[in-house]
Amino acid sequence: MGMTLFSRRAIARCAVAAALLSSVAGLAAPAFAAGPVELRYFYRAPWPSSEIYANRLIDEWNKKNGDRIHVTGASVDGETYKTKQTIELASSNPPDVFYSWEGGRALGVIKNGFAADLTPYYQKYGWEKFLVPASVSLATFGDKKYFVPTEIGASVVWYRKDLYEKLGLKVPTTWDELMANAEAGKKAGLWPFLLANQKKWPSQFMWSAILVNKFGLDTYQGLVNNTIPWTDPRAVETTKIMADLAKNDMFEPSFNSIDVGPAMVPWSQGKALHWYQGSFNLGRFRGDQAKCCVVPMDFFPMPSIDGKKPVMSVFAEDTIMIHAKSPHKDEAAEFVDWMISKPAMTEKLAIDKPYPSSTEGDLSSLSEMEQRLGKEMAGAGQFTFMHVDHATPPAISDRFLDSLQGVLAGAITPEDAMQQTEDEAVRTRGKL
Amino acid sequence: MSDTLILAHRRDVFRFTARFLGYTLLAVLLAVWSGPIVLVLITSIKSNQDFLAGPFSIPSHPTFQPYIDVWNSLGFSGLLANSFLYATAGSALAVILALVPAFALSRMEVPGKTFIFGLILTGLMLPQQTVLIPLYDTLRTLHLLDTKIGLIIVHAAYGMPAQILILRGFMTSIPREIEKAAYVEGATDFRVFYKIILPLSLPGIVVGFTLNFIAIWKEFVFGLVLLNSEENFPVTVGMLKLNSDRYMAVFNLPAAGLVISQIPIIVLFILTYRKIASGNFAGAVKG
Amino acid sequence: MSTSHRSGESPGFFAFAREHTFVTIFGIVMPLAVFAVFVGYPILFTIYLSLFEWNGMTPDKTFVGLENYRHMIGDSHFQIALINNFKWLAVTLAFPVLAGLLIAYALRNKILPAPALVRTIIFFPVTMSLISVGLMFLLILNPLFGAFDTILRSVGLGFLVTEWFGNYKVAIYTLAIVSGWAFTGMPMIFYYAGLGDVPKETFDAARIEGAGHWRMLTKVAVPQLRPVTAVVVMLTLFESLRAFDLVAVMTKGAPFGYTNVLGYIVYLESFWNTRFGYGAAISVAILAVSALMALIILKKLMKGAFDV
Repeated sequence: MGMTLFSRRAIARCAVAAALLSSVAGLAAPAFAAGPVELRYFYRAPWPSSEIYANRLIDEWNKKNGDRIHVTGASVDGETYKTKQTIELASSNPPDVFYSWEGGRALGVIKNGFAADLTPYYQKYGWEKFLVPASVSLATFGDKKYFVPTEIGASVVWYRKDLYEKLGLKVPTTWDELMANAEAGKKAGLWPFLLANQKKWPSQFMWSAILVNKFGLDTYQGLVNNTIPWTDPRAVETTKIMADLAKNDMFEPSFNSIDVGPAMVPWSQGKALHWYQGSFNLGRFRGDQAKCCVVPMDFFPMPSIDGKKPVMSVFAEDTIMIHAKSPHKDEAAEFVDWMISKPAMTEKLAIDKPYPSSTEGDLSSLSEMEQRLGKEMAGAGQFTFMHVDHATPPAISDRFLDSLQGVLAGAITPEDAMQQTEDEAVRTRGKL
Repeated sequence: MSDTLILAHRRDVFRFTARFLGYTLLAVLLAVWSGPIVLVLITSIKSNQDFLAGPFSIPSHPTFQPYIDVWNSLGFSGLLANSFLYATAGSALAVILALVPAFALSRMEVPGKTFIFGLILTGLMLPQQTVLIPLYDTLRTLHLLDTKIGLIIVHAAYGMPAQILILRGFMTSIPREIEKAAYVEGATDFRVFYKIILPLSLPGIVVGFTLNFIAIWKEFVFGLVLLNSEENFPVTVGMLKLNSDRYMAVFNLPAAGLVISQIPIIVLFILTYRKIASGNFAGAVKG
Repeated sequence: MSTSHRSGESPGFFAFAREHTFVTIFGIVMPLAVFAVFVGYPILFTIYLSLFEWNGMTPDKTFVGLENYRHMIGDSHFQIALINNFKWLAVTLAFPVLAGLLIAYALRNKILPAPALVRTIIFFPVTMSLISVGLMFLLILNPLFGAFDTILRSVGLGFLVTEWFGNYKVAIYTLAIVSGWAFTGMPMIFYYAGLGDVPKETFDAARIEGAGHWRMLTKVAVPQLRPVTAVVVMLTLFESLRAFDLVAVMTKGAPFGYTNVLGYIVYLESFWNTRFGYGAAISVAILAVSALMALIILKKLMKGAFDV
C-alpha cells in the first residue's frame, strides 16, 4: 500500500519533470512581438577572417539599427555548412538571411521553396547598378534573381615569378607554351603544377578550365545544366587530359593525399612552378604580410587552347539569400543592402579577402597584382563559368569529384569515371 | 667444470635473454602506444618555424601560443562546457534509468527476462548510424533538434542498456542475507532497494557513471547530426574543424587542440583509473 | 509478502506487477518505454522509410517500393563500403584482440617489466575520442610533414612508404589499424582480468610438464579464456560496426569512396544528398548484417558469457 502511494507520488514527480523539460524545450522558439525585429543570419565561415568580418558587420549594424532591426549571427565552418544548411532551412525556426551557394546548390534551395525572390529588392535598391555583371548573371534563375553575391572569385594559373625568371621562362599565351614551361620546370626538378587534391575539389578547377577553353562554354553549360550527358566524348577527353598530366608527373607526388593548406609550405619553399586555383587563396598567399604575397608570384588566365579566345572562370564565392518563409523580408533586404554597401565592402577587403562583388569597392589597398586581377574579373563580362561543385547538386558533383580523383590515381579509366558521374546524374535528374 | 656451474651459467644466459626480450618488447610497446602521443605533445608547443624543421625537431622556442590560438578560434571553453554537460547529465540520467531495472534483474524472476535481455543486447549493439534519420525526425517533431536537452535524452537512452548490465553485475554480487531479513520484517521492494541495494551499489554506480561519461565524451555521430548550432557542439564535433586546410597548414594548432580535448578525460582517468583498469568492469559485464 | 517470486516459477506479468508495483513501473515499464521511443520505433521507422523517396524537407514522401534496395545492390559505393566493413572487422579482430591477448599474457607472466606503465599507456587510447585519435594520425601519417614516413626512411624501410590515406588499396587498412591502435586496451584489460581468474595451478602444472610460453598460451590460456574471448569478440564487432568517426574525421570516404563504410554512406546519402529513403535502405542493410553476425556470435560463443 505504501508502495502504491509512493508510485503515485513518483508519477506526479515525473509529470512535473516532463512538463519542465517541455517548457525548456519550448524556449527554443520564442516569439515575442515587443522590441526590435529579430533577424537571424546563418553563414558559412571557411576562414578565421570570414568570422571576424561577419561579426564586425553585425556589430556595426546593431550599433546603428539595433533598436529597430537586431541581427544575430550563427556560423558553421566551410564543409559542415553543406549538411547543416538543409537542416537549418527546413527547421521550424529558419534563419532570415543565409549563405547560399550559386549554381546547382542554389537551384536546389530555390526548388525546395526556401529562397525568396529578390528581384523587387534588386529594383528597389538598384543593386544591379554596382554589382559585378558576371555575379548578377549568376544570381539570375529564369527571369528572377534569388541571391546577392557578396564575394566573387576567379580561377587563374598562379606562378612563381622568381622561378620563371631563374629558368628564363615567358608567360605563356597558349596551352602548348604552358606545357613547354611545365616541362622545363620538371627538368629543373620542380613540380610543374601543384594539385593538393586530398579533399578532391581542387582538381575540378583545372578540369573545367580545360573543358571550357578546349570545347567551349556551351559544352560546359550543357553538362552542368543537364542537356549534354557526362559520357559525352568531350568530357571524357578532358578527363583523359587530366589523367595524362598525372601520368606524366605534372603534379606533385602524393597529390591525392595533400591538402591545400599544407601545400602552401612546398609552394612557399619554391618546390612547385604553377598552381591553378581560385582567388580565394589570396588570403593564404598573403600570409602574415599586409599585402600579397609571401613569395614572389603572379598570375595569368588559363591560356588559349587550340587557338580559341580564352574564357576566365569568375564565380560567386559568397552569396546571400533571404528565406522565403521569413516574416521580415524587407528588414532582411535592408541588412543585405548594408552588406554590399561601399563601406562594408571596403572593410571586407581590409579584414577578409578579395574580391568584393561591388564595382564600387575600393581596391587601392591591395597589391598591384591583386588589383589587376580584380579589374580583369570586372571586365570578364557575363560569359563565365563556375566549378562543378557549385554548378551541380552535391550528389552529382561528389560523384564527379570522386571519379576524377580515381582517374588521377590511375584506379579507373576516364570513360568509367564519366559513366559513373552520368549514372549519378541520371538518378538525380532523370534521363536526358 | 661441474654440471651445476654450466646449468647456472645457462640460467643466467636465459634470464638475461628473457630480460633483454622483455625490455625490447617494452620499448616497442612504448614506441607504438605512447610515441604518437608524445609526438603530438611536442608538436603542440612548437612555433611555426620549428614545425617546418621536421617532425622530430626539438622545439627551440617552446610556446603556448598554439594553445591560446586554438582555444580562441575553436571556442574551446564552450565546447568543453557542453561536453561536460552532456557527459554528466547523460550519464547521470542513464544510471538513474538503469538502477531499478538492474535491481529487478539481479534479484527477481521478472516475467519476460530473456526478452528483456534481448532488448538490452539490441540497444547495446545497435549501430547508431542506422537510427540517425528517425531520431533526427523525432527530435525535430518534438522541437528538441539542436537543443542540449534533446542530445542529453538521446545519450541517456543509449547509455541505459550498458548501465543495466554493469549495475546488475554489481548488484548480483551483493549478498542476499540482509535483504532477506528486511523482507521478513515487512520491508517493501522500494525500501530494500533504497536502503540496502542502493548504498551497497555505490562503487558500481561510480564505475558505470565513469564509463558512460567517457563514452559520451567520445561520442560523435549523435552530436554531428542532431545539433546544428556551434553553441551546442560537444568537443568532438567542434574539433572536426581541425581537419580543414584552415588549421592543417601548420600542425601545432591541431596538436594543441587535441591535447586540450583530452585533458578532462586525463583527469578523470587519473581519478578512477584503479577502479576501471583493474578489470572490475570486465567482471561486471560477465555478471 | 513479496518473497514468492524470487525463484523458480515464472509468474504472469500482472501477478508480478500487482506484487511489485515499484519494480514494475521503474524497472520494466519505464525502461521499456525509453527503449520503445529511442530504439524500437527508430528501427521500425527506418524499415518503413526505406520504401520511400524523401528529401527530408517536404512533408510528403513518395512510395517507391523496393526501388531503394534494387538500386543499392548495383551501387558501387555501397559494394565498396560493405566490403570495407568486413575488412575493418577482420583487421580489428586480428590486431587489437591478438595484441591485447599477448600483452595481457606477457603482463601476467612477468615477461614485461613495468606492468602498471604498460597497462596505462595501452589502455589510455581507449579513453580518447576517435576524432582525436584520427586527427593525431593524420598528423603522423601526413605525406609532407609526417613522422611515420621519416622513421621508416631512417631505418631503411623507405620502400614501404606509401600514401597512407591516398592510396586506395591501403587507405581502409590504415583506418582500421588506427582504430585497432585505439582499441587494443579494451581486449587487453579483459584478458588481463580473465587470466587473473585462471587458477595458478593450471599454469604451474603445465610449466612443470616443460611447456614453453607458446604452449602455455595456446593450450592453457586460450581455452580457459573462451568466455572472455566471447565478450571481446562481441565488443570488437560493435566497435567495427560503428566505424564512422574515423572515416568522418580522417578521409570522408576519400580517395574516391574507397574508405567509405556503410555507416558513413548512410550519413552521406541522408544528410548530404538528402536521399533519406535510400539512406534508410542502407541502414536496414547494416541492421541485417549486424543482427546476423550477432546471432552467429551469440550462438557459437556467448553460451554462458552473460549468464542470463
